[in-house]
Amino acid sequence: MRRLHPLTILLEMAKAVQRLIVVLLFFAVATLMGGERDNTEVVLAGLGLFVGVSSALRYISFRFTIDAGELVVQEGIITRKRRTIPLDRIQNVRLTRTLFHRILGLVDVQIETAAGSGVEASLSALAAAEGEVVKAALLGQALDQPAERQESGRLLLKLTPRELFLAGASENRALPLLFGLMSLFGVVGASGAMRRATEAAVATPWIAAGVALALLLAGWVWGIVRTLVTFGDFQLRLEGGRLTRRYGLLSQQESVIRVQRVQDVRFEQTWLQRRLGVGSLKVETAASVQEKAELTGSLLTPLVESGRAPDLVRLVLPSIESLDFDWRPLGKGAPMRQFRASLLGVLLAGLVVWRFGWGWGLGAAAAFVLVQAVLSPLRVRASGWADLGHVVAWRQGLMRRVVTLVPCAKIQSVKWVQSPLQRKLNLATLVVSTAGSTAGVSATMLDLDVVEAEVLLDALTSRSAAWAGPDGV
Amino acid sequence: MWPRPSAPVGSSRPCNLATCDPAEWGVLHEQGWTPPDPRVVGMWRLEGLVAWVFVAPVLVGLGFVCVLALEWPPSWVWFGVAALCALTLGLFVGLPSLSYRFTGYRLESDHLASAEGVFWRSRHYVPRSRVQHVDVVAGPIARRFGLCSFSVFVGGRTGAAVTIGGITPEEAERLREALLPRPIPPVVALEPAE
Repeated sequence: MRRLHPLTILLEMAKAVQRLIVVLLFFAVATLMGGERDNTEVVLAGLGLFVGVSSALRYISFRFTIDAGELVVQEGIITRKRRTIPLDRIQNVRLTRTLFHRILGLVDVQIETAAGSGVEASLSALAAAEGEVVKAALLGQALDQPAERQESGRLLLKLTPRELFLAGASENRALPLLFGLMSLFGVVGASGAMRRATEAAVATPWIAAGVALALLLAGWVWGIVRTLVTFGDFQLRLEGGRLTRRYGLLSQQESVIRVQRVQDVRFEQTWLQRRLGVGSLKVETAASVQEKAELTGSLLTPLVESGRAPDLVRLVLPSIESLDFDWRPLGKGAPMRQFRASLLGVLLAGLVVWRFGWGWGLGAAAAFVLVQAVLSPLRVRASGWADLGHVVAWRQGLMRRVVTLVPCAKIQSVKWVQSPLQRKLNLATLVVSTAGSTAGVSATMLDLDVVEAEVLLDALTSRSAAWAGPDGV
Repeated sequence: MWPRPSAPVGSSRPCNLATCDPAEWGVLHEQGWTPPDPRVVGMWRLEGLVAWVFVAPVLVGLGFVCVLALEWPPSWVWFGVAALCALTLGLFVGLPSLSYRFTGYRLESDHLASAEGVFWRSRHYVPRSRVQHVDVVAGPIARRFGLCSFSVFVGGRTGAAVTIGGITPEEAERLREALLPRPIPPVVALEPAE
């Protein structure tokens, strides 16, 4: 059995300090306030002792080994826990090095299987060199064999700072940020502040416009900086059926996924990225449930030229020639259905502005109806589906266009739904689920023609049944 | 491929929003979907009554809030509360016999499917090869009616992919056997750890 690196104790203590930051701040404030009978030092010393001892105990009790095709992790002093993970069930291996890890020369190795959500085993932390050895062992090499830091395999993609800048600049996060700030402002200042702000904006339109522009700009710059820092030095490699992503300026990430474990593929483009001819690619594995919550998500690459995207997609789904499929349109009643469904929003829009007087309420409602009447058919035209035999494709989104590709061999279940309104307009919705998404939903194919939906449902169900892997995932 | 209705329900004749076109009632069961046990109607009614026992006091409480705090005219409020109570009771008691006609399941050579919903209709399909585990659950009310529910779970999601309610334990056992037919492997002696 192997141990973690001794410096793990230090790392654990740092983590504990991070977790207890609120408590520590509280004590700091209490000390500054300066009570007469002050025993802050005693409490802090006790806390420190507890954290130190528990970190040391965790280090002492933690053992792991990789042998006979299994990873065995043993931990715990009072309650002994021994977890065994067959190597062929591993979906995802992830190496993380925060700035602190890098100073200490450590690395975290996290292993995910298809079971439940989150990380199934976390080896935190190993020496950087040993991390490489363990990673290689988890992927099938013998543990005692030395592994050089892998630069092997075919380099598929390397993003320059210029490309990352483009990626950050073209993912329009500025607008959501602005709306977020505005709604926050609206909630906080519900009692008249909003009205006062509106009045101020009406009185001094130039200043208001300037503030809005500055906020937009700040959000835009923030998006660029974040992309540069998170994905700095991005590399995508392919070796022996495994895709390796490595990225990060400060906190470095390396994650390895097996190509055959990919559950679905998404090509996303904001409207700006469509004009620039670029987009981002995402892949889901059955393990990425927790990863999705994080900033990087299941991103395969934050930026790829539209022309090169099919080449990368083909690594996972070999039959894909291009992403311009012969898209089938939605059902004929779809624009009407989506327009009428959006009318619920009219009520909300009217209610929200109602406080400003009936004229405002009616005006807002009318404007909303008009906008929806124009947007609904456009939105429907932007959507479409394609049955490619081994893969089913779904496209949607007016501003942010998302093309989702689901291999039939990975479909876990299919759901057919019809609301009363859809029934009246001869529409139906198909929900395709794989093991690779948080709510279990890969594609919600809204408002298909009811007969086409029935045919597609038949095809997907029988293909999924025929092409399941041995463990069903 | 398997036998399927040539025209899906509702596609040939558009019906009104209330979907209470009696021509559609029970069509599902004629199309090869197995209905649940008829006792399930009584079970749903009892479940509805139990739910109503909790709903009605909430409505009455809301009535008190409207009368005492908001000072709305009491006669109107109490008339509204009484009407809502009657309406919910009517729904809980009346709807089960209708939803029975829209509920069913079918076990095919390669998949299991379930259908439900009178107004918002849905059908769930799970290929047999995707089944990870199955649950047979019988709550106190279901046990009183001699019924249970059967759920199928697939990879990657926590909830059940297909749930069939109101079937007999024998039928649930039949489904379980059909979906998980693997023989029990011979017992292997475990070696002591380390």
